[in-house]
Amino acid sequence: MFFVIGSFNFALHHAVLSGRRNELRRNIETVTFTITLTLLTLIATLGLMKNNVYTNIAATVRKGFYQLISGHTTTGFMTVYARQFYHEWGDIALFAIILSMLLGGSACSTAGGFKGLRTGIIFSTFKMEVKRMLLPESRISEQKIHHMKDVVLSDSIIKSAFLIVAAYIITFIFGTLLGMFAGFPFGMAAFESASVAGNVGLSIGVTSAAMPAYLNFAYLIIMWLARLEFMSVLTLGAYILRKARRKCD
Amino acid sequence: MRLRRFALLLLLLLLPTSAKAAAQAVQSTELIENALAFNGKTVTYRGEVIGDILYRGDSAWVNVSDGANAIGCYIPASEAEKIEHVGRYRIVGDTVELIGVFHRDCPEHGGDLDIHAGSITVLKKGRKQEDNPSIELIIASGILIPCAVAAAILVLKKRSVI
Repeated sequence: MFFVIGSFNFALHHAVLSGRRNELRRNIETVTFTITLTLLTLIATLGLMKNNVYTNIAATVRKGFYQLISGHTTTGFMTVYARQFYHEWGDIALFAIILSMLLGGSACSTAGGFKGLRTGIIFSTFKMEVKRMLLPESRISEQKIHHMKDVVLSDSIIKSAFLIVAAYIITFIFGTLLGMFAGFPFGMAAFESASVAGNVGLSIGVTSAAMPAYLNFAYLIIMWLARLEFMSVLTLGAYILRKARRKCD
Repeated sequence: MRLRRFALLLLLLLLPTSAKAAAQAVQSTELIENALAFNGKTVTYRGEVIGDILYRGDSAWVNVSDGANAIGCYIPASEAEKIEHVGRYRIVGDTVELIGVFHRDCPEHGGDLDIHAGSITVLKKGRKQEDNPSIELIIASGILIPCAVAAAILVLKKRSVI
């Protein structure tokens, strides 16, 4: 419960504490979070049951749901040993955890990942485009999302969401490649890269005192980039480059 | 008669070997990496007691770390009372050995990985540990703190000038 509340938008906390409890039900981030958490819990549980990881359903749900929600809210608490993820959980459950870490928590919270707002915007965009293709032009109206207030889904909002998510995915792919280059299998490299990109804190055993120095450094950069959500770092880089060019000229 | 002597000799030869095998402690990494193979087996585990002892009625949870990982051990509360030092900041905990059943997913404890032991042996008492800062750290602090203060003063001066 604390994981979930902590991963919510602080403006949502303020809205609920101010009496606008309806915001919990209407907000795109809470709706997206509920859907993704439910789907991923189902996938993780099915994956664990398929591999007979735990002897009873209660243990399966307890362990699986805890790790999943820890990853999804980017809390990072673990009740299984890092190596157990790789040796026992199987690919399906691992896939669910990787996806949950990438999706992350809400915007304007301390959570990492894509953020529920961007995930919601992307899915709303898909819905809007499918409607556009199916319905006659006269029936098409502007698509709105509710995030504290009703917001029209404009091109600039859509572009911004896709841009940051693309940056996250590129960073995740780079981190995974580097992990594989360091000798770790795909599953382990992808898990650790997702944890690093999402600033989660779960580990499958890649991060250790014995890890290669270049991987350590790369993870540091990825964590920093992802925490600042890329644009501010890229802008800083461009500013420094511009200053250096002016001095050379 | 000859057969009896031979059987007795064989038994005597085997006994020390099996006793040695029982006393050989398993590493936590080995237990975790091969959890399926060790599941339900009796193992000997050694390590330092860290964290807190959590009493639960007639039993207690004790966290035992062998340096690589810490494993939760479920022992009788009376056995936990043998532990004098629990490892934490500035304290080295008692080194203990326990022989118990290893569970990969304990049915009694919600699928957790643990060891249920009937008894615990304290091999080495813990102690307090001094943690004096290194001379390099003191010198580095002596240089960096005045630099930080000087930088702060410069920035504040610049701001007040503007």
